[in-house]
This record gives sequence, structure tokens and C-alpha cells, in this order.
Amino acid sequence: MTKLSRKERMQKAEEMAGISFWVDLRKGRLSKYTIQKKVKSFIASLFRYVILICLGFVVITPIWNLAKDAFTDPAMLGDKSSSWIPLKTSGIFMEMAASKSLMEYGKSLVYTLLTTLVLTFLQVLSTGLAAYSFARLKFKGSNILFFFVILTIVVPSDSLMLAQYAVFRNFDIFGLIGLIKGNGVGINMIGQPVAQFILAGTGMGVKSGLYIYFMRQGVRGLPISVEEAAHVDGAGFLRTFFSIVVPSMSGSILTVSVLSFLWNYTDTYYTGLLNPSVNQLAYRYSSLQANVRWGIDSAAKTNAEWLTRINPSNPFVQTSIISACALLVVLPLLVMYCFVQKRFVQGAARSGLGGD
Amino acid sequence: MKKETKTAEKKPTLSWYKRMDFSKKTALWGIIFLLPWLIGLVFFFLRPLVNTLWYSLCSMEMVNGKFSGTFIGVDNFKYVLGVNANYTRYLAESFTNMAKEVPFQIFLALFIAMLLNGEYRGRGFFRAIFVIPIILATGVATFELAEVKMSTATTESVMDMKWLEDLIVNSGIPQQLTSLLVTYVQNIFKVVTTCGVQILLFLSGLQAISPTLYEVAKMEGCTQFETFCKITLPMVSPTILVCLVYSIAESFASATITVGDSTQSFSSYIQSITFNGSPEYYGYGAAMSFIYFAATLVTVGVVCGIVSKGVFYYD
Repeated sequence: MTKLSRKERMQKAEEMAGISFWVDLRKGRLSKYTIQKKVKSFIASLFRYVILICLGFVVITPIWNLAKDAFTDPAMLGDKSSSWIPLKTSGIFMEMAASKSLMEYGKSLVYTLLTTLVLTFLQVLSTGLAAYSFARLKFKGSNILFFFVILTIVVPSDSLMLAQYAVFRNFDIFGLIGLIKGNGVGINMIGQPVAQFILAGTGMGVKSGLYIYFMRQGVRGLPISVEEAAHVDGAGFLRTFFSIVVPSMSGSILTVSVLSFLWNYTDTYYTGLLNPSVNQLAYRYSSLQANVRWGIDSAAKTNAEWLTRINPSNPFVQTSIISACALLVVLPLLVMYCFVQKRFVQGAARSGLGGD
Repeated sequence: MKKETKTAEKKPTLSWYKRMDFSKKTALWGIIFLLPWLIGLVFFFLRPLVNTLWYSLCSMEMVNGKFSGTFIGVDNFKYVLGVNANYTRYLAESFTNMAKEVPFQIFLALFIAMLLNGEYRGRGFFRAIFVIPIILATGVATFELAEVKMSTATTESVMDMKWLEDLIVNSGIPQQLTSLLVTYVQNIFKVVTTCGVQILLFLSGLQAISPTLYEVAKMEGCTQFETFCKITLPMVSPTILVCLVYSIAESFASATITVGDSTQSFSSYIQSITFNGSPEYYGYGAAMSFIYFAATLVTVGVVCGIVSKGVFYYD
């Protein structure tokens, strides 16, 4: 740092004073309106922070409670002094939850992540193609078909439950499979992830309609001239889509991928209907929730040491164990979200998810 | 022979694809791109939809792993709406819940999105936090155990708001209004956790508004409130429509009903009736599903019809 002469320092101080609000205020150099504006903007930002922090608290609390319950020491359960932060922590509940009789965490996690990744890929691909078609490759009746997209968003998937179950219970498109097998009976796809893959790949998976809508908006936000240029330069439609459109709408694709991963990961409806596999984390968790007592008992059988430390009929213990299970289910999502968070939120804001 | 092939190479006849003009090609590729979705639509959406209607008009049987039904007319519908004492009550309950929840959801989502939008310190942090509700909305992190009856020691909340409730109730405002307000405040956890997607939608809607509009308004001397009414609200009105459709659909899909003392989701109620072991209930369950779906569709249609009158499109 170079040493400044006294004059320079004075000049700098004056400069500083000139732009400082407080100095101006003290010296009476400010007009009434400037002060008013400053005070108003201060109050507005205070208001903003207070509300955001309060609502943020509302959002964080459930996850905080899960973690709190899961890590409290069995001796401190129900203690008033541990209602926000446990006085004594222990990993026993997490250990139990991850054990074989409750969540069987390692195996389930791998299975869930793999199926979810496949589902996400298929879903993003099918909805992306459909969205591009709706946005740019208009043909006669394309608008009428878009009405059906809205219909798929609006119709609760539960109301088609039975009929969709029947389709996959006896899977047979055009009667071909029955013809080959010779008895007119299709394949029973219930109990395999294939049924879910087919739904995702044909754009009928979890909330697919919403993704088509999102991505259609994303494509519409792109300048059409780039695609026209690609066509003029001799690129085919597939090439235009994969090397021009996909890279330039990466923001909305990321948004949709994250949402799709998240919803497929936590989906218990289609899993329960088509593939009631205990290896799917969210499904396993939801079935565990109904009778946690049984889970605890069988866990205690495998490791008697646990039973000396906890009392399975204590409601606090049951809550803690379920919390630990829930935390195990949510944890991969939170970790993933930490990695993509920055790009995800920006991408969502830029992707033009808004209305027409 | 050689010569002939050479001439053929010199004047290749264009394939049918290359002779097509561009608009036709576009249409063709539009259909090709849409093909997976179309197959899904026909086989896994429309056919089940029609089948659901057909099942609901039938008495169902399971023969050899295949469903078959005999037509019995609207008996199932009569039974659901006339004989079943609970169904209409449950339907009405989900309607009133929807009517209470959705406006507040939209309002809160717009409000939060407006707070999140703009330049301020810690913006990235807050934006990240408000996407967490999408994870919470899936119901994994918020649960109520069926077995566990909590002792009073824990239900006595740390943040007891009874005094505030008393204050509002005794303030002289009409009781219907205050009770609604109190329900909103009590349900704020639930509402915030269900409006993650809406916040995301509104945030992007707000980002799409050109800043020049706000500059002009400022120059002309608009107050903040006027700016909100004249610029922000019309510009996000298409997003409001989308959010309404989404919120109503979600609200119906996740409707909860009171059975005795406990609550249960409407869909799990239908599911429990449909799959209770005997195939005779399939037609009955299908009728329930169909009424449920028709109610959703009609509500969305009516609300959209009304709201879309007020929607402003910039271009």
C-alpha cells in the first residue's frame, strides 16, 4: 500500500464523506425526499428479511425435526430440554433404521437410485420430444392434442388406477403378444419395474404432463432463428433437436430432470400399484409407517443389544425410528439438491416456466 | 452395363422424403417426435379412461387373469351417490378444502415469489430454501404415525399461539372470517409445503417481466401498489392461471377426508374399497373414481373459464 500525502488523504475522506449517507444526514445536506426514500427502502428490506426468515423457518422445521428426533439419545427422549436440540446425541436410531429388518438401506438405495435414474432419463426424453413437437413442429390437430396434455395434468392418476392396473396385469398391445403365445393372454407385468419404465418412456409417468408444459415454455423462449439457420445449413430435424435445441434449453431440461428425479424417487403410488417392491425406499418407508412396531421387534431380534437400550412400545422411540427412516429416504435427495441447487434455481427462473 | 449405372448416378431420382416441402416435413417430424407420447396417451391414458367408464357401468368379474364385465347400467353410480352414506360427504369435504386452500396457496406463492425476486443479499440462499417444499410435499418428511398417540407433554407446543387466536376471535370481526384466518395460520406449515412448484412458476413469471416497464412506471410516478396492480399482476396473470390449474388438480389428488377421528386420503379410501379382495367391487370403485375425476375436471373447467377472462397476454 502506497503512503498517501495528507492532502490526498483529506480528499479521499471528503469523497467518502460525500457518498456516505450518514455524513450527509448529519450535515443536513439531504433533501426530505432522499431521506424518505432511504427510510422506506430500509423498512422494505427489513420486512422482506423478517418474512423470508420466518417462512424459511417454517420450511426448515420439518427436516430439522426429523434430524433432531433421529439423533436424540434414547435416554433423552421426550425431555423438554431436548425439544429443539438434543442434549445427548446417539446414532442408535439411524443404525436401527438402516438395518436389514427396517430399511435395508444399502441394497434399497442402490435399487431405488438405479430405477429412478432410468425413469428420469426416459421421462425427460419422451416429454422433451413431445414438448419440442408441441412448440415448434406444428401440424394439424397439434393444438387439440395439447388439450390432452392439460387433461393428463388434471385427471388424478388414482382415477385410472384400476384400468391401468388391468393394462399391465395383462399387457398386450394390438393383441400381438397373445397371438405369439397362442392363448390370447398377455404378459403379467405387475411386480416388475418394466411397467413403470413403459409409462415413463411413453410420457405418462409421474406428472409427465407438467414437464411437457414446462419444456414447451422453455422451447418457446428460444430464438427460432437459430433453428431456421440450422435447417438452412442442412441439418435434419433430429440433428437440430439434439445439437441445437437441447444444449440451448439445458436450463429447463435440468429443472425438469431434477423435478422428475425427485418425484419418481418419492413416488409411492405407481410403485405401489405396479411394482410393490420392498426395495424401493419410499414405498418401503410408507409401508413401514403403518406398522413400525413390527419392524422394531424384528430388528431387536437380530441385535439384542438394541433392546437393552430402548423400549419398543414407547411412542417416542417409534417416532424417532420413523424419523430416522424418513431422514434416510430424504438424505440422498438433499445431497443431490446441494450439488445442483445453484444451477437448478437459476435454470428454473430462466427457463420461462411461466404462462403463455 | 457400366455406363447405365453411371448415368443413373448422375441423375438420381429424389426420394419421396426429399421431394416433400418443408411444411409437410415439419408436420411429419412433429408426429414422429410426438409418437412415444401418442402411444402412451392412447394405450395408457385414453383407453384406461374409457375402460374406467365402462367398468363403472358393469358388474366386474376376474376370469383367468382377465377382467370381464356384464353391463348393468348406472347401478354403480346410483349406489355410490345414493346408498353410500359417506361418499358425497367426502366429495363435499374435498371441495370445501380445495376452495379454502387454493386461493391462499396462490396468494402465498405469489407473495413469496415477489419477496424472493429482486436484488438483495442472501438471495441464492433463500431461493434454495424455498425449493425444499417440493421435497416436503411428497409427504416423506411430514408424517403422522397411526399407532403413536402422543402424550400431552409434547403436543403442548413450544410456539403456543392461543393468545393470538383469542385476540383475533374477540376482535369483533365476523366469526366466519376469523375462523378462516385462524385455519390458515394453523395450516401454514401445510400450505407452505404444498406451494413449492407454484413459487417456482411465479418466480420465473416475474423474471420474464421486462424491467423497462417498471422504469416507465417509476418515471410516471406510480406508487408501489399501483405498480403491482398495473404491471406485476397483469403480467403474471397467465402464470396465475397455470398455477390455479395445477393447484386445483393437486388439491383434489391429495384430498384428505375425515373418517371418524382420523384423516385419510381420498384416493386411499377409493383404493381400499376397490381392492378389498372381491372383484365385484371393481365396478363400484371405478364409479367412485369416475365421479372423482369428473368433479375435478368440471371444477378446473369452470375456474379456468372464469379466470381466463381476466388474463392478460402481452404479445
